[in-house]
Amino acid sequence: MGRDDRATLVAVVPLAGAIALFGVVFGAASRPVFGTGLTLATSALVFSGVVQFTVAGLAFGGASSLAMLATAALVNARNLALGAVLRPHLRGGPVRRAGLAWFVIDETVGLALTRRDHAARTLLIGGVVCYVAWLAGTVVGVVGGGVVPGVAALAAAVFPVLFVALAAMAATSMSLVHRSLGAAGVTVMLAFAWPAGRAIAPVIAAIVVAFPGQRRPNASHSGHSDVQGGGR
Amino acid sequence: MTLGLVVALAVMTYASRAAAMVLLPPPGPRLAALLDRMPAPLFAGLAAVALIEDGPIVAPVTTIAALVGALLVARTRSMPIILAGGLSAALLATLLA
Repeated sequence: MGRDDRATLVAVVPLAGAIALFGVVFGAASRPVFGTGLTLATSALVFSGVVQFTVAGLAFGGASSLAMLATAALVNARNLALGAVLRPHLRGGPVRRAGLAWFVIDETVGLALTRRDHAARTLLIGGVVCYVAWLAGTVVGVVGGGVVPGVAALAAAVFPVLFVALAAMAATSMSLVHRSLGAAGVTVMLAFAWPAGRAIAPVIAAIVVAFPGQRRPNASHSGHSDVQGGGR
Repeated sequence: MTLGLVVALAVMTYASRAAAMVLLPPPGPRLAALLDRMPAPLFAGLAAVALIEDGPIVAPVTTIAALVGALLVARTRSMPIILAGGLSAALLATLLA
């Protein structure tokens, strides 16, 4: 294992820890609704916290299968944006990219984008670790759901912190900092105005704030470009 | 909930992940520039959306405190420092609540 791989492992530990916490919450919350077998199968086959929590909530409320699929399709729309953002940094053929696509989740994409020269390797290592963490967390939640109230509060506090860190690492210029603050504001407004679309509000906001082009280099005093890599 | 529905959800989720990564050709310079401007705002949006729970209602004070604590040290652009800042603020809010 090379130095870059070890650095990736060190960086992915806090992400995996948070994902494991949410896995515990999912396992404990879903077992009464899905049963043990289907709860574990869902985590193993879907590997998406936002889809799984959404579907579990709908199932708990008695929604039909069609409603669950339609809602999952809406929630999954943000994966299109994540894949598109990551695509320019991935080399190799379609089969390799198809394999890597399994590991596309918010956290692994964020990590890969901070190491753009090794994006594919980072996605692979980060994805495997996060997948194992998600499965392990689900198993713990299914087996010992009694600890969940405290875990749920901690998990809810950890995720925004992780995303602030990923945003800070990806914001390599003042222009990107301003766009990030704008996206946060647009997201909050969208989430309040359209609660059902909360899961894709960040994607819509990111697209909205990304559209205004950057100033020409000779008009900038910062010396930074919007399109430089994260480089950490 | 059935195993068939779980499999359908899995296929749909994987397809949404693979669609852009497999089918998109390498983007041209203008699209690449646009895509390069998206990650930081996207993650900022994901942090912000955590402030609002279903309802919509505002998130618990510990979550808000964690976010504020992380933002206070965000200029360091260091994952460990930002994590420490956020979790310290959450812990402080829990103790004071």
